Amino acid sequence: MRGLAGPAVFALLLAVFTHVALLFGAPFVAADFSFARMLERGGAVNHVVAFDRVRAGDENVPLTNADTRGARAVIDLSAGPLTLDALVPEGAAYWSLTVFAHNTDTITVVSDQDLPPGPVRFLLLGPGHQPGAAEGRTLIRVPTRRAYLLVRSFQNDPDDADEAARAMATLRAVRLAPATGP
Amino acid sequence: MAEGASLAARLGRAALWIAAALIGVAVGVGSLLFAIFQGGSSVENGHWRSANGVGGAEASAYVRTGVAVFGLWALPTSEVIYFVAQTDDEGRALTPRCNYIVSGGDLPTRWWSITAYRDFYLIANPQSRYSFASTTIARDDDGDWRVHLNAQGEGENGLPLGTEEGLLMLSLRLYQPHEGVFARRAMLAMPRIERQSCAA
Repeated sequence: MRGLAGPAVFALLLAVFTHVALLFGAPFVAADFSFARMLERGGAVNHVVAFDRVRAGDENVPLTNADTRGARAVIDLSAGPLTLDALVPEGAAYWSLTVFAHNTDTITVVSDQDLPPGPVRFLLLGPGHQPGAAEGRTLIRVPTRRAYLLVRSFQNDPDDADEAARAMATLRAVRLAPATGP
Repeated sequence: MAEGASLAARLGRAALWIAAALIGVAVGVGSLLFAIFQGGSSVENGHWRSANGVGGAEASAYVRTGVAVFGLWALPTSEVIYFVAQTDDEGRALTPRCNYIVSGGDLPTRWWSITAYRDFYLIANPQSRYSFASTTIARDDDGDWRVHLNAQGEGENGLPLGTEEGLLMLSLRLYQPHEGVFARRAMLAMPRIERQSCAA
């Protein structure tokens, strides 16, 4: 029995370490896997990609919403703040813009119930960034260097070609760019 | 002989430590999964379940991890309420060998959808039909609706389950629920999931 004490204690400590490491590390790892998968499929960091409704087998994440037409971007703020411009549509069944931190927490979410139709402008600030001249932009402070942007939209008739085209046009208008100025 | 016994003893000790490491990792992973599925705070309404704190910074570490693994990039409950069901109203696991009717009325939210998944992913089918939404579902004159859930997606509002076995689940999403709905999730009139018949 004495010979088992060492391995038993080791097993217990390893169990605790594994539990805690996975608990706090899994969100970051899941986010990184999702980022890598998206970047493999096209686009680049800080580049917005508009996407149509997903088909089975093309999902980036489990439990994907099959009704979403959207725009997404893997964000890296290590080089400085970024401007974010989007277009709030009129008459959509639903539209929202969300910024997530690297650990998958929602930093901010705005929708077409909060904003009137038309252009909206944001400034994304990472750790240690100063807003400078915000130029009338809404500030979004992101606590992590990496982040994720997801714009979601649903249509009243998603199979209607005109409604789909209008939705995709709105999504393609989402832009990220380095913030310039002091 | 003595050397052989010594080697055997060392190998035995090494195997013991390796076994301890494997057991430690397995217990660590298993206890985490248990805590996520059993200990994570959620509300049940019939056979529908809705997790608390999804997507928000106030979420517990267990909810955050569970969402990251099984529902990445979910919105917070201020924006969306997510319900999932893996069984029919009699508590029997959903199976593609059976036909179901999922029925209900309007829900207190701006927009809702009901989507079928197998093993957490969309179910491939020739119609590329994966869900129905409040704006697309065919309704009765009184506003009620019925989704026919079966292997081929036949019938009114037919939603295919495919033919492969696996963990089947329905996800009900309520986008921008009316005020107070989140607090009374346990009392909402949820869609019924009624088994009709099963193949032999």
